[in-house]
Amino acid sequence: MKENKLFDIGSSENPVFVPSDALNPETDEGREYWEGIATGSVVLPDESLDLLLKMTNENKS
Amino acid sequence: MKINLKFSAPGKLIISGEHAVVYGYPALVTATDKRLVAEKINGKAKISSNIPIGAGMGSSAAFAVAKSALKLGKLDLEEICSLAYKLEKVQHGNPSGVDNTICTYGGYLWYRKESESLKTFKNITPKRRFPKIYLLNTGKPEESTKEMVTHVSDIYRNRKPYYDGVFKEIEKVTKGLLGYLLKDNSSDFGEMIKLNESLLEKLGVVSSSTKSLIRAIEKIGGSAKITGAGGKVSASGIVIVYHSEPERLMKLIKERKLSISSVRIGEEGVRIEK
Repeated sequence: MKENKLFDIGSSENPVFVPSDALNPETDEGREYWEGIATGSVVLPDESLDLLLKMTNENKS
Repeated sequence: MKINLKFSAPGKLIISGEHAVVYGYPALVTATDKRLVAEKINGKAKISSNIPIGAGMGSSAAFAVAKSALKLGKLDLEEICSLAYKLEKVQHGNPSGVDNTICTYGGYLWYRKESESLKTFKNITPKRRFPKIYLLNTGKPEESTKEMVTHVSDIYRNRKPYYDGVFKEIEKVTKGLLGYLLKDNSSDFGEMIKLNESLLEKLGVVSSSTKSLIRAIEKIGGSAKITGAGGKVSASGIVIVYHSEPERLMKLIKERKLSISSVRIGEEGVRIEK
C-alpha cells in the first residue's frame, strides 16, 4: 500500500485532512476513498464534504 | 525458513445504510470470510489477500488491522484496533473507525454519525445468523463513486423533506435487519433486502440494467440489493443476493451467464493463523 499525501481542507481551529487520492476519483485509490464516504468508513464535516466536492468538480473541469 | 508470526483480518460488507449513513442515519456492517493475511518471514512482512480491492470491502482496513497485529506481535484486540485506526488516519485522514473496528472484532457492527464529533459504534452479538447470501458483481460502474456521492448530495439538497423520508425508511430497514439478528422481530430477511433495494433505487444509485437483473431475481422469488455507492449509468458494482431456494437462483445465473460467489458473513475478526 502506497503512502498517501494528506492535505488540510479545514480551518486552523478545526483541521480536516483528506488524502490527495480524493482529488482523483477516477483512480482505484480515489474510487476507494469515495466509496468509504458513501458507506460511512470515512466521515467528513458537512462543510468539508461540500468543499471537497467543489474542489473535485473544479479539478475535473 | 522460519515463520515467526501470521495474522489475518476479514474484509467487510455494508448490509444496509449506504448513502444514508452520510446524513446521520445508521448503517449495519459485517465481517466477511474474505481475508487478508500478514505474516513475518525472516523479518520481512508478506501480505496475501482474497479481499477485492476498490470494491468497498475494507481491503485497506484489513491491511491496517493485520499489520497492526503483526507489529504488536499479540492478539490484544483493543490495542490492534487503536493502532489500526492510527494507520487508517495516516492513509485516509478522517476514518470513521467503522472499518478498523469491524475488521478487528468481526461479527456485526451498528454505526451512526450522531454529530460532527460524536459517532456511535455497537458490536452486535447476534442471536441468530442471517440466511446464506451471495455476491453478484454487476461490473465496475461507469461513473466514479465520487459522482454517486455528489448525485445523492445534490438530490438531497434539492428535495430535503422527500429524501429525509427515504432515509428514514432506510433506517427502518436497517433497524429491521438488526432486529432480525437479535430475534427482536419476525421480519422476513428477503423482504427487507427487497425494500432496501427499492429505497436505494429512489436515490437513483442503481442502473437500469442492474434493476432489470434484480427484478428477474425477484420474479423467481429471490431478493437483491446493491451494496456500496452503486452506479446509475451501466453497472452498479456488487449486489447482495438472497434466495430461500438457491438452486432456483443458480439456474437464473447460469441462464444469464453471470458470475456469483457465496460469502459468509458475521465472521471472526483479526486472528492468529497457524
